[in-house]
Amino acid sequence: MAKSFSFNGDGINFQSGDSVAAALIRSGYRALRRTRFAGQERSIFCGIGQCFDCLVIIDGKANQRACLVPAKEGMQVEFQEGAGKA
Amino acid sequence: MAHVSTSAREEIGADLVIIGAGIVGAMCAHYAIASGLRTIVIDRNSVASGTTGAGEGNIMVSDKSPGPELDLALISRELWFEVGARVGDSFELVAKGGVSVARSNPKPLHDLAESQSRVGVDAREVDQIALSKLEPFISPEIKYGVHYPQDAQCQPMLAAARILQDFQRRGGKVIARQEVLEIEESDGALSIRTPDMIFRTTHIINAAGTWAGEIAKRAGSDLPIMPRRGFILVTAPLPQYVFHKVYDSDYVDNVASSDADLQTSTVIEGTKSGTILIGASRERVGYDKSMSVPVIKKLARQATSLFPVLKDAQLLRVYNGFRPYSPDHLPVIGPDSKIKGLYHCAGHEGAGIGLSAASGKLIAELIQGVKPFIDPTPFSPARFQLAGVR
Amino acid sequence: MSARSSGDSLDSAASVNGVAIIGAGPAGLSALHQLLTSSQSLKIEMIDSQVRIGGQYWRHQEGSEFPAIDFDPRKNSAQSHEITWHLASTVWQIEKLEGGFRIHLASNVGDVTSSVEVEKIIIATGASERTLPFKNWTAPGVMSAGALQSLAKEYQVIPGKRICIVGSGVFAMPVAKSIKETAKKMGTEVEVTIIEAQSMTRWWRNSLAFLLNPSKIFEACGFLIFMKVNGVKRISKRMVRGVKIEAGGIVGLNVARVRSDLRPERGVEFLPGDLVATSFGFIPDMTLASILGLERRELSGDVVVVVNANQRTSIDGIWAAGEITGIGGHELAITEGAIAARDLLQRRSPLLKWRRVRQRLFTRGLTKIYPVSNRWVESLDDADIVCRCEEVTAGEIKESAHQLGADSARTAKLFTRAGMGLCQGRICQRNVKEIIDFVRSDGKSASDPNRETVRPIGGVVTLGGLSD
Repeated sequence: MAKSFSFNGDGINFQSGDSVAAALIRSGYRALRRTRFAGQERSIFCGIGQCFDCLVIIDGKANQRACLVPAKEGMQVEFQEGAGKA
Repeated sequence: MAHVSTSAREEIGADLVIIGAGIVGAMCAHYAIASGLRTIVIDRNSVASGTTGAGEGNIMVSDKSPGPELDLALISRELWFEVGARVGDSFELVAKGGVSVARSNPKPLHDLAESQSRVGVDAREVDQIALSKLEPFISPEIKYGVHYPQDAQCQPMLAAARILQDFQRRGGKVIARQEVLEIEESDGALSIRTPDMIFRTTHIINAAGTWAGEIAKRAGSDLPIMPRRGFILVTAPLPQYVFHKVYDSDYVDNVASSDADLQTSTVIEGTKSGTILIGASRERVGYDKSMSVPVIKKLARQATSLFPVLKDAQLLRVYNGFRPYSPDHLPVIGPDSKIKGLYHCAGHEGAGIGLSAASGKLIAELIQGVKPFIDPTPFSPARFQLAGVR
Repeated sequence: MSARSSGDSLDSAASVNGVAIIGAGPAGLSALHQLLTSSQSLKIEMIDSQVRIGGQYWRHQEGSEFPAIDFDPRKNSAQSHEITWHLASTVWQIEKLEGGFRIHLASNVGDVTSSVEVEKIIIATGASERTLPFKNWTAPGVMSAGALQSLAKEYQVIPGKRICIVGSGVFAMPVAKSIKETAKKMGTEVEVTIIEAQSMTRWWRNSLAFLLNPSKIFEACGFLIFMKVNGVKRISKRMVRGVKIEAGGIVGLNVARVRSDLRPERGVEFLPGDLVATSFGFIPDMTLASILGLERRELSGDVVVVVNANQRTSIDGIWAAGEITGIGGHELAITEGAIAARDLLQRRSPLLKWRRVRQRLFTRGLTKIYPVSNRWVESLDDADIVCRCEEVTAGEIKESAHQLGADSARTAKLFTRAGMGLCQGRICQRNVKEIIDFVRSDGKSASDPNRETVRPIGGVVTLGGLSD
């Protein structure tokens, strides 16, 4: 079941049913984004889509909650800096 | 502030009591304390809990046709920056500029700009190329624009709070959670009764915004101020896609109309925190605070039409507030025609933030009896109040 | 795209006997279970924001068996009912119509919107975990206890070897158990330590409730035995002061001894660890209640929806069940969901009501054992972040009260931005309120549960999604 998506260009293997967050954490990634004021690193916190801390850019769209989005083959996921790029 | 709920009310004396701790009340307080009046501001809730708390923070000259309101707005804009310099850079005051746009027929846009230029507004026509430099993300369907560098922006709740904080440092008092129950006048002395206090004073400014009519009533007078509901959509923080306050030229027309039905126009701007604010709507629905899905959808559609890049912007929050308007859509600034010592400073409709500085200064000058910096006649409460009728 | 464009009334042909259950956790699935026994032909809309049903309590791995067979709706296919599933969908608004309601849904990404019209609604949207701020709680590797449990149970991911579960309440033990069981399945070793603010002896305060719910005694003993056998350490009367970070990674926790009102006593101890989970109880979800204007009240410090004996809310046609009527655990949620659905079907439920009394007694009693007083504020430094989304510190919030006159979470928000971020106060609002209450010299709370910060947009919806 070697499915993968990319995170900042790196290939991330995932299992069927994984959320993007679960796959990234299993692969050892500490941080998913940096905040827009103080540049703090963040990762998942509440795990159920309520806290909006696990934000990543998926296929060009910013502010996606990695804990809610199911991982899909071929997804382009990126570390989100602040509110994203224009 | 300790709450006294015994039957004996606390008695407090002052030269001036301002009713309303919104932006207009705050500006009145700012100028009053500078003129040496012992001043107290009271509010039935807390600072900025009325329309000020639902405002965008517009300090605009661009949306007004030549006339007394525009004259007041031009002066008020400059005064805002004076107040900002005095109180400190603590409420996101920025001269970001406005851009009024049109898709096809530019004539109304250009005609207005020309008439405004003649009275001192800096209005610069821009073609599509210049427009795309001012607003790189605007829809390519927009062909005409006028750039107004004077338009400015602030965070209105912080502004009211910081101005009142400065006011208190200079000796003023702010008393929250005291609703005005009754105002009585006898022999030039005024008394205001609230649940826990009685204020004895010689001057009162009614700066209660959308509720100014009710306050006037409780003083035994009358003031025709009515609510006009408006919605604002707030997006999630975004990269900077909007650089000025951008709006469809329809916005100006909306304001003059008195239709009860929903009217919308498109007003979009970014904020320091990265969120984008989207307006504007006007409805006469009394004080109905409920949400309206049709309005939300209409404003969203208008916004994405003007800035297609906003299609993926997440809507975080919607809030509504009530603009206080008077029958001729001009604010009411001046002495009550019946009750000596009672002044009104209300009815600023959607321009309360922008006009507040000049309104505060004007009222302070009228109370002091000095020659005011602007002719107060167009704003006089007497124009609505029937002489000799109680 | 909107499903209807029919002005202000329900399109009656399409939505007669239309019922929506919002929330497919224990309460919602229990309600569904009851509705499916009805002889009327119903049109049921099942709505949940997660990808899989089960809510929080019955979270399970994709493809594995549903944890509560009796409530698995796939096993209860009564053909005379039409069930439409709206999973991974959030309700962002509900309009009241003549004769019913229009529920506006958005996908989790927010770019696709739809709406359904129903006559009746059962709201069972549950609760989210309550977390308190502490130094460095925003660092990666610090998460809610539920997030860690979900990573372990659903995804078989345990991103640490020495895990500290810090907080107060009954949730730490099931989470510790999940982690140990998952680790065993994965063939790895993890150390788990529970750091509880209250003392062990407080359980005696709930003795009556235990006697009425004997199964709870067995459950509690079962946990204690599991903890002992699996080497889960339990440290009591301690609160976390902060997480210690070195070279970008968590090395441990600083904890302080506290009294039962959470006031810190002197002395700070260091506990090594590389992963921190935290939980201080649960907060009922008031999003839909505030959108609809349902009457709410305060119950043991939580704002909850007011319901009558039949789980009816203050609005005709709307019932509420489960955690949103008061934190009570999954068994009480199942009971309440059943009572609500049965009342909708105009059936009586005397036995269920007695069961509800017993269950409520037990769980309401828990708040006596694990109170979370607002004195936790004393453990905060001014530089500690309280609003995670907008990075607002405790100092800024206190300043807004002292200097600017903020007297509620709402006014503090207007002055500091705390609660204005993407989560719209879901994580911080309660904490901001308690900081304001704590620092105001008159000690008066200005928050009216019915004027609580309304969240008019209940879930993520994009401007493009709204424009369709």
